[in-house]
Amino acid sequence: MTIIMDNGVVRLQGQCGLEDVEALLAAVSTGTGNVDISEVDHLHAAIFQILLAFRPALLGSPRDTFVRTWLIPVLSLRDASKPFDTPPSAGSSEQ
Amino acid sequence: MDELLEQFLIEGRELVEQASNDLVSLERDPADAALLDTVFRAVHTLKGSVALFDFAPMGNALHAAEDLLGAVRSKKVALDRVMIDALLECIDASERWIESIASTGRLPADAEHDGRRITEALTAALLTEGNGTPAAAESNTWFLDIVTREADKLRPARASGAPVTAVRYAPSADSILKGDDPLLFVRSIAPLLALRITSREPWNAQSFDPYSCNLVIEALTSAPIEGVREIFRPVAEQVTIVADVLGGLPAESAASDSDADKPGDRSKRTVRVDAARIDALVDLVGELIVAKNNLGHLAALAADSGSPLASALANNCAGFERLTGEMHRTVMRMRMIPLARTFGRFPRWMRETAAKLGKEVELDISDNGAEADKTVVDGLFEPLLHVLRNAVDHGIEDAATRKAAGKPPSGRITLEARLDGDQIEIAVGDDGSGLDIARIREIAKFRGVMDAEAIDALDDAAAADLIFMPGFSTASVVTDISGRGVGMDSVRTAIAALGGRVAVSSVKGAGTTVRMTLPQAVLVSTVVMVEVGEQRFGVPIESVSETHRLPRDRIVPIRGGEAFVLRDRTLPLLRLFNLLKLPRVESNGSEAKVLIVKSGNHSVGVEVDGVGERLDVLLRPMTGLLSGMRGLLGTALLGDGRVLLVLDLAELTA
Repeated sequence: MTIIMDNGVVRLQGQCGLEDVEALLAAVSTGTGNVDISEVDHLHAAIFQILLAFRPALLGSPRDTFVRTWLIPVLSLRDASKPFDTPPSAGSSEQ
Repeated sequence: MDELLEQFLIEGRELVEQASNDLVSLERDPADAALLDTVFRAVHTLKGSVALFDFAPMGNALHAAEDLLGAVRSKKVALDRVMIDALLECIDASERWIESIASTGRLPADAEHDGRRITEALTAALLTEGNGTPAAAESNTWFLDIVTREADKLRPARASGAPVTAVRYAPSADSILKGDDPLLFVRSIAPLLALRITSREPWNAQSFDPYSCNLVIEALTSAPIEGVREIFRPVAEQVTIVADVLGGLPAESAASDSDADKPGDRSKRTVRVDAARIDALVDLVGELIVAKNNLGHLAALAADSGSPLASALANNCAGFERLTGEMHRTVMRMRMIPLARTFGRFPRWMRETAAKLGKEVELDISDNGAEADKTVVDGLFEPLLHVLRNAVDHGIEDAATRKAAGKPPSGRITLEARLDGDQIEIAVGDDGSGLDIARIREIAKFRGVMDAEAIDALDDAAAADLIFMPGFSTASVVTDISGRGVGMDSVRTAIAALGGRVAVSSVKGAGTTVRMTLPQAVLVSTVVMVEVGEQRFGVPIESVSETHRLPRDRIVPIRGGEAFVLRDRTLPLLRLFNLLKLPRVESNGSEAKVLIVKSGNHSVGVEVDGVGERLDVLLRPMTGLLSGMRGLLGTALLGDGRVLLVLDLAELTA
């Protein structure tokens, strides 16, 4: 288990892989989930593109150098790619 | 119209013009990095402006043009003719599109088709030079963007001279389902210098699928290219790797692509003002001058009536005159635009025309930074085009003839302008065959331009001048380029309408030079009022060397004409009503009022019925239908609201 729901905050931990996709998508696609990334060691591309597409608020600074130095700045770039204007409905994300 | 769009149109036209000119120059000198830079910037800026609106086909075409120029700029490919043609076509289309947007607010219906064709041509041009598959060529220039954006992060590598490798990894949509983690590959790149991750397709809320990879990853690294290849070996077909991306880039300019957008880049601070507003200001100043003339009239009346106010009024009048004069000059300076605006349109045209005629021609343009009134600069285009057309079509011989004559195979046409006082002098010279004077005489006789005897009596210089006569055209073969039924007389007319003169000189076998002299601005002229019967005309004071009262008994009839002796010289006497083809006015009085006028190298006397006061008027060149009228310099508005026709006596008596 590398994803923990904690009082409205989604906490990602360690190697975040495909097994976390559904839970994360459900959490961020409602538009309410803040994501704590301080304990992340790696983000799988599938996880990363959820964050890139939905742009939830990110909490903390990852302990992993690659994620901290290279991936997180991409997520905070305004023009890197245009996220949704409005969060999609919860229904559509129940894949 | 939307202000943003309006601005785009103004800027767009300028950029298109600049890109077009620079491209033609660039073809002549492909190694000129500064020229390449300006073309690149023009296209880049234009593309950026287009992106603000919904003109996708235009944006795409310009993007492809920018890619191509970018590749040339980074020396990934060498500029060749195919590329220049493709680029020029893109610029041409952009010009068309801009005009369409200006008139209809949208791109023409065929823009999508044209845009696609142009984009493909540009990509193909890059491909023929490039060395790879279409996929490789397509992604040949993507790295310029990241190199430019991440210039800061590249500074250490640039300083140390270490080669930088660029990687573009576009994982296939099913790569995640196949078990790849694209970011794991990226993590293995060390040392990573820059990373960009974007989406291939825009994110779509309704169809978002976390398992379908929509990422495009671009990275720069100082790792050796072999190591990078090794990392991406499992997904090699989804990856493009370019070695040494900084290699061809000039140290500073490559990194500072955004410099062009910085304010303060221009050496002069300028404000864009709609030409119509300046014209309105010119008109107002013109009316002010008329009002000033009225005041002068009043001051004279006051002086005549012995009014105590007379001298104060006269003083005031002088001050007013000085101020309006200054104001007029200042406003006229606002209308000054560089001649380069018109000259710049010729290289492109010359390139195409010479190609069409199968001739090699070099066009050498030097405008010496000269400026002139907008009317003059705009009005010069047609006549200059005509003269240049003649030079390339009739002047420059074909390569074989030139070789036989011991000339270089490539012809040379020069277009030079310089400022001489407040006159603009323009010379169009070619090193072609020169005018065939004997043939000109023959044709002039054949066409009945003048009496055969008169033609024979002309010296060679005067005979050369016959080409400016109405109805004359030396083109024995009507070509697509020349010989459209308009002769050099249209050139003389057009230049005269601008208040100028044109003359030709030629050396057989060595070339022809056409010289034009024009006023730099539409000037306030001092005219003398003259009367013919009931009518009054203006004559520029500078064309009259003196006025003379001639006793009628001193007029001698000579061969159907009349003459008189002035200070031991015999001058022909002409009657103004004759020159103007007005009804005959019976001369009365024992003395004739005669203006002595310089015509060419000779003086002639022109009899008028009366000589009136001198006036400062704002001379407006004739426009529209009247612009072709011989002997008229223009019109001026008088203090009482009447329009005064101002005569060109030199032309009337020529």
